[in-house]
Amino acid sequence: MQKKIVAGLLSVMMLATTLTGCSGSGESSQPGEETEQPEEVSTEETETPEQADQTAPEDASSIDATGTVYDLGGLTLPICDPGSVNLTYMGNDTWCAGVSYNDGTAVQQEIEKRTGVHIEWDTYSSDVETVLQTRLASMEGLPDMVELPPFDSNVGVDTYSSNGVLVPLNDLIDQYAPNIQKLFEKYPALKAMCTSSDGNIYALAGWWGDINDYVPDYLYIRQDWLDNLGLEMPKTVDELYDVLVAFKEQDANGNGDPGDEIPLATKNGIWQLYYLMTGFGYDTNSLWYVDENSEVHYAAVEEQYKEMLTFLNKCYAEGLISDDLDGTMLTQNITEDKVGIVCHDPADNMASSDDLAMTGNPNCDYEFMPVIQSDENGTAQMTKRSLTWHYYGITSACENPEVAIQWIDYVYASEDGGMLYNYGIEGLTYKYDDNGEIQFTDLVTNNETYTSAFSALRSVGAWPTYFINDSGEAFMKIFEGTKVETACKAAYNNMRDPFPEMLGTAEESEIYTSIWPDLSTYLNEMFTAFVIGTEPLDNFDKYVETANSMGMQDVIEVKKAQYARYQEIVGK
Amino acid sequence: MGILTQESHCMKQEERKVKAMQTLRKNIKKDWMLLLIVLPGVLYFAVFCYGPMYGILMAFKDYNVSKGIWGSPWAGLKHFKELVDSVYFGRLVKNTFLLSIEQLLWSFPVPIAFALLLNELKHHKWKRVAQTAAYLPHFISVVVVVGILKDLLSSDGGVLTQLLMLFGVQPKNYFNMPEAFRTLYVGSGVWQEFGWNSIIYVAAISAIDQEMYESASLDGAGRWKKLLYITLPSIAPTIILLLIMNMGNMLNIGYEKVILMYNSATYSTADIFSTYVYRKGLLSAQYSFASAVGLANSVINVLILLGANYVAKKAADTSIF
Repeated sequence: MQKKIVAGLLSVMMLATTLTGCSGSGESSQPGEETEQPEEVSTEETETPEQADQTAPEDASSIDATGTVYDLGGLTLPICDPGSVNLTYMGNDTWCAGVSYNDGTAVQQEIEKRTGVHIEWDTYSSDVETVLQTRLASMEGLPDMVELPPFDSNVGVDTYSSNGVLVPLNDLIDQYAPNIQKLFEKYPALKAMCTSSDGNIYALAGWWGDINDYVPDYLYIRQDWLDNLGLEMPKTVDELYDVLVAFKEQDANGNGDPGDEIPLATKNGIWQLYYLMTGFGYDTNSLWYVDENSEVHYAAVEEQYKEMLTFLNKCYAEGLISDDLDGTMLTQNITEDKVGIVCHDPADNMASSDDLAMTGNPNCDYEFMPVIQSDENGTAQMTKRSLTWHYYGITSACENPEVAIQWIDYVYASEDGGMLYNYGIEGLTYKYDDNGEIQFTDLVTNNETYTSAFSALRSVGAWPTYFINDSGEAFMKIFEGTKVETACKAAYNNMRDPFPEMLGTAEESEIYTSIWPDLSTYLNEMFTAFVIGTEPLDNFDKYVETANSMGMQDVIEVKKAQYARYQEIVGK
Repeated sequence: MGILTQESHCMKQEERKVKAMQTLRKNIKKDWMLLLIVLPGVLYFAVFCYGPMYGILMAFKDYNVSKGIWGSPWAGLKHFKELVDSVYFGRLVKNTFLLSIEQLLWSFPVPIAFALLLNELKHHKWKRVAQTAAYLPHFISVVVVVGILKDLLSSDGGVLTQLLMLFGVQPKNYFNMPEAFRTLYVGSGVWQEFGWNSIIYVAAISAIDQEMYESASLDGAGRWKKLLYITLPSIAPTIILLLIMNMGNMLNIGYEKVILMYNSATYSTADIFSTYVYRKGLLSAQYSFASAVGLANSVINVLILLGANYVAKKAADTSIF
């Protein structure tokens, strides 16, 4: 096992070096770009942002060095005498190639200056889960604050709280964290999802609840292809089928080769095509869903689901769905101007897909698709993306938990911390115009290295990966005046709440972890088999039977109990 | 009388002890350099191989991080039962074995054949060029190799697909075909490693006494006969040694390449123990379960190693112990 982990790490490190090798070339232009920044803001105090970038923040007294200080909500800054407390944080590195928290970024240094807390970063950009699991399992050299593996799941919270790695945060929050309290009041769902079955809070969930009110995740389609072929935007399953056939048979991209178009492709795997379930009698595109009688269902083992599989099977047989089953070739295919519809991707990726295809076809225009209905009168809606994924906690090794929780309160929940989080540093990444409106600087909107505004902000340390609390408003600001904004506005208040992922009791976790890994493998495998035709659809009943024999109903019972607890806390 | 003999016995023992100490000291003094040379190796095995064996205990416990390995409660064979009870157990055993065997079947003889062919190249420059070209792929990351493979075989426009189309083969996505998985896995592995693995045989061949070839030539032996009666027998011990060692590592297939190559359509042939452990053990933090699977894997490896060693000893009179 040990050996395997080491081998895994090595191979991933090799990959990481190749990746950073590719993106590293752009890094050199970065400082140059920063010095080109207008110096007007920096005149008022001693330090320009780029100096702040380089010098260690010894003088934390000048809190207003970069301008406005926002509401601290009762928190006092600095939290401690500058330099008197060191905390360690272990988790993901920036989601921006070539930039690492370990080397320091402008935003982190600003946070350190304001809070007085020095953070030692111990962050990783590849194979993070394996590294964290190994470190936590050995129980040696525990950091003070940690992002809990496995990500995209709350299993880690149960494991590490019952193991004594995590300390309960309830009293700390009550005593020291006014902003987190306010956040919990504002979003009862967040509190529900942070609360373990024993009533304690051991970990704080990264919060996507705010941003996901805005950002839809569905399908997007080449509007220019529709125009080329004189077609309307598809709204029902039948229309979608006609469009797919037209994309396939006629030369939609106009390059003279009618055979190179891929009408429909998925991003992370063919299983994502379950999104089309809205066209087959379901109200929304979520496998876990609650009906009007508050009953919990899992769609993939229900009779209606077979209709969708039948449709997908027909499409696949006719070559309308990409045979790149795990989506590894999607980026390349988009770049080569081949992909008509992309399934299961948030709206902002529409813009980056445009950028990709633009190199081959300057007319490329992806547009967000309306929800596919079963007929003209359908009322199915999109489901919002999950409210939370990653969890963060304070470990038993932390000697200053009260400082840690205040620091977290600042970066995760305070308005002032939120500005640094979402907009970066005043003067460096944004300025106020004459109307008092926030305007991003050239560093963000016109960055040569990082073409997307997101990456540009991330390159200075904004939109971090630690204690995530993304702001929908800031997201809309970044995409102001683009078609992404249009798509998001259309979806706002027009999406369903996602099925809540609650923390399990010890018993529930035991059931879930022993059944679900095998069962989800089976469900995934059978979905693929039905769609690509290696398993005849007549065997659907047998498939449901097998799933039940593997414990499907037990998992549904677990989800029911958790949903009931959620309702209790949220109080709807 | 009795006391006397006992005493003399004691004396003798004492004497022998002293003598043994003396010889030991003498030996150490004489061979201290050799001992120094072997020390790093001993340390390596002690620290990295024998030390961690303590962790095997985890497989029999319900590992709790804060209680440590020793303090965690015993679980008996619970995790092994869970493994055997899994619906996928049979498939995992079958896939792991078949993939290992196919891997061994191809990746073992090819480097030998390549080394023998290389030996027949008389032009020194070409020999070098061929050898370098053959072992270069070893340095490519497996991620890149799989990427290249996917590109070559892509159903729209891949070079290999187009070549096959010339012969009237319909374009297919081979990565979605369970029956093609092992061939792709082993084929790309052989391509990547045969040059590198042949180095040791090339070295063994270069150590063969040239006079043997000369006298064989005088006796009228051609290239084929020389290969058959001089080269092959001379490197046979190396071959058998490596074969036994390879057998010992047979089931240790890493999950990285499989995870890069498999998808939900090919699980039926591609899902092996290590990928299963990765999904179930590592991604859901079930340390004890993962250790149990790892231990089961190692035990099978040791059995195969002992078996191979026994057969080699009986059949070819060569063995590693």
